[in-house]
Amino acid sequence: MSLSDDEILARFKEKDSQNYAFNLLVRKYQQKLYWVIRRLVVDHDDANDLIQNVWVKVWQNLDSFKAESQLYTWLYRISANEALTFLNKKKKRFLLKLEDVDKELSEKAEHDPGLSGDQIQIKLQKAIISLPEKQRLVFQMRYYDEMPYEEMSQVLKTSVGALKASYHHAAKKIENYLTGTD
Amino acid sequence: MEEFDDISKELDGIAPMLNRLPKNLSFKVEDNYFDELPTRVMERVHAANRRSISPSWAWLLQPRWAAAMGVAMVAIVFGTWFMFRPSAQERQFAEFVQKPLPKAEVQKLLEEPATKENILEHIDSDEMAEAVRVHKKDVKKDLHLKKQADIQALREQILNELEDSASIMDEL
Repeated sequence: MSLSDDEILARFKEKDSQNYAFNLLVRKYQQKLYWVIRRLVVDHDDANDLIQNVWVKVWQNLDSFKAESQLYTWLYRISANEALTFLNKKKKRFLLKLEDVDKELSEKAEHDPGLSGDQIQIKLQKAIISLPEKQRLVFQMRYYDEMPYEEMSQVLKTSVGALKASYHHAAKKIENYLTGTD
Repeated sequence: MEEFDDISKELDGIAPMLNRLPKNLSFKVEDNYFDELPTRVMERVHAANRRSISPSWAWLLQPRWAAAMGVAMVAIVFGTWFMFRPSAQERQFAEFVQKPLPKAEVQKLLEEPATKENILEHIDSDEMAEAVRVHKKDVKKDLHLKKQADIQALREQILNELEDSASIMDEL
């Protein structure tokens, strides 16, 4: 049985069906949110911790969710924030430079079993990791998640014009990286 | 589909090589990861709920707060003792009061008759003056003013008063 977001939210508000509704919500969006996080932090163990944190936050705040935006947009925003906050904390905790974190992520991407042997995919991931974090997120939202700019604007609270420019710069940098003209 | 076409068209204009690459998920996870994730999520959610409904004083049981409370208690106890501890003079007095007199000395005192001579032997001039409530300077002043006969009379008076004091001590 596939319920709409509104139906899930209505069931979540009833105490007796709260767990059931939340379980449905997790099953509906877990993969999309996991990949949002995984593409940003690269490492599976980190992504696994973060996705669980995200769902705990969703549980704690779902009552106060106002249907001003789509539920998926709200979930996406929480996931992206969680991943970006994690990367920032990691840099501060280990006093790492941005390049060092990027280098670590590149190495992880290179040794990921899903990528090994696929040189062009390794190169693509390295190119994405070399982008500034916000630009990386914008690129991933558009390239992988195929999100309309209006929806991206709601998630990132940024104007459509700024997002178009950011995506353009990101795609250009990756193209240059892939063609070796960087 | 229209959105996808737009995205593909847009990308082709910026990065044609990138647009031609297959868009796969790239990274991998275990086959059953997403089957098990909801169970793990629900466990985390319920654990977080249990923490959030614990009593308001539960934070006191956290190790760092418990250790801080322990240190504070030790500091309070030590501080109280330090502020109210007896001075060296008070300690000496307490030791003197609590120390029992040797039995032989007590026996000797009890057996000795309370004669004028015995009393005078044991009492020095300061104690004597204190016993009759007369200060040294007053005695000297009186001695200077009175004749020998008066001195003798005074001596008799002192001895009489000492005898009275000895009687009172015996009664006590």
